[in-house]
Amino acid sequence: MSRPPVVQAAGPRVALRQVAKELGSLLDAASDPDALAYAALTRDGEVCPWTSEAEAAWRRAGGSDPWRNHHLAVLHHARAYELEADRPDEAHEHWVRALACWARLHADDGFWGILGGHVSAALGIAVPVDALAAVRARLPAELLDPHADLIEAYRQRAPDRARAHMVLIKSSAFPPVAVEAVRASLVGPVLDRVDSAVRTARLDEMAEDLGSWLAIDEDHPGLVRALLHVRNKQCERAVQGEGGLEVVSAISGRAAREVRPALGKLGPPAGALAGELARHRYWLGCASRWAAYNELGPETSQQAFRRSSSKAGEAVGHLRRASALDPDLEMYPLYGDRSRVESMAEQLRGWATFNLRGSGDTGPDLEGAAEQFRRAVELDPESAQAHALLVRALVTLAATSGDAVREAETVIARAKPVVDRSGTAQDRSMLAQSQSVLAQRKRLRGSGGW
Amino acid sequence: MDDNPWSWKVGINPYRNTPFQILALDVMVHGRGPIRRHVDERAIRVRRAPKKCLVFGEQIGEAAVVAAAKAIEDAEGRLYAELRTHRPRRVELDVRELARRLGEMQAPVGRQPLRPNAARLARLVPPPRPRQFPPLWTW
Repeated sequence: MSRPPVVQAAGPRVALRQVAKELGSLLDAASDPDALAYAALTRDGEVCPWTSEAEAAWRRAGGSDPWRNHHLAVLHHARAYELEADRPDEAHEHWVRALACWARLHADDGFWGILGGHVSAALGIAVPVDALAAVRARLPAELLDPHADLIEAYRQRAPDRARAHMVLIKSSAFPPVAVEAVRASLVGPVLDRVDSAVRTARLDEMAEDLGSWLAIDEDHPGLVRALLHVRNKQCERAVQGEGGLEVVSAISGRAAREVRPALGKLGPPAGALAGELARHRYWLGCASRWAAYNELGPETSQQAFRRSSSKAGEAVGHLRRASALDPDLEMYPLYGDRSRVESMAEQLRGWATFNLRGSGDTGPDLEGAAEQFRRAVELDPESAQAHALLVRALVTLAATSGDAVREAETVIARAKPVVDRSGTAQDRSMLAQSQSVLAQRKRLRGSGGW
Repeated sequence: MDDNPWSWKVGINPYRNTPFQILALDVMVHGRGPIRRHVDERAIRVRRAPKKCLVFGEQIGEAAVVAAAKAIEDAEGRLYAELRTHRPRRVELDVRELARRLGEMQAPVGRQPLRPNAARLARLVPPPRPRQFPPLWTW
């Protein structure tokens, strides 16, 4: 059992504390919230730019007006500078708030009017309008400048931090021209080196450099264009003897991963970017066509035909997109065979369709295959193989279709000179077999056997 | 940007050691005369008692005072310094409002006078000792 106190004195002390607390609340309620927060900035007799008590007081006050915005800009910006070196994650929120306040102040004509009037009174002379306007105009660049410095400092050793500061720059509410100027100042030097790197074949190093910048400023159109340009040059060198289509496949695949985030954010490509994207798509098409071809062998399984069909379809998609992005693509050296490569992809797709059994063990889609071979012939009228494949499909269809018989005869008449001129032994053999089978089918149809 | 007060420099905070802090000058002091007098007094105090003129714990020299004064002499310098300085706010009581609210306050309840606990107190008192009282007179 607890011992009762000698003297009962709890009542008055508690009551006095309560009175003091209520008086304190009264004083707060009767005072200007900005004044209370400003008072909370004082430590050891000095007014500090930031204290936690002042931050809490302004947060409680809520709302905004020009001078409160200025207090908050100074408060949060000072705290961000304090924290960035040792606690950058904590600094981030303060950078965001500070830049938001500064952007509001920058845009606030009233704030600048009052500030100009105050400085005029302080100096005893009217502040020239030009001087005030010049300080105001420079403010966005000067406030974004430290973030550019930090990006340079973090780029190699802490790319995540560099990216965070780039996001701060891009998402700040300053005028777009100021934001773009800072971005340009950062990536300008690396873009200026691209032409020289291409001329001196330092492509790998240039691509790495551009890739590291794109990882920080992921939707900068200049960086995207430059990286695609360098990757396309790497592919061009590969097909001219430095690794072939295997290397093209690796490079074009990597480029696709590097630029995918940007392409999702940039609008429809135009101009030089569209041109580089067209070439990039061409290389992706070549790589997919090569992969589709590699699925085929002496005994190709149904699964392999399906994979081949899928990759051939991707190739066709890439090559069509390349043409849409740059209708003049085929005028450039190394890209002049775009139509021919698309024809080869259609042939591969058609061949897969010709051999794939349908569901429930139904036969192949011969009409589909014929249509794909027709496109292949249209894309490359000089392709003996495309003609031979089309004839083969039509002759197979001729077993059940009179129209296919007539078309097969027409196509054979067109195909024969092409196959004779440029076909392989396999093409000639396929054509000859098809002609023989067609003749048999016509005889059977004539005798009513079908 | 060389003259940019916000440039990133490790260990440097653009909101500390501003001209107004070095001069201990209120931004609301107006007129070149009063500002000049304040600067002169500051320079004298810094020279005579530097340990009493610390800025965020650091001693400043007269050169810093001169440089700070120069920095805010022209409009552009003054603008940049003001942008980095909190505008002072004075706590101004609305006395009528305070009086009104005081009048609405409830008197504290439950106030009781001090009262000793007799039973406990009694236990602290030493027990009476037998005493002998020599007679004051004899028959």
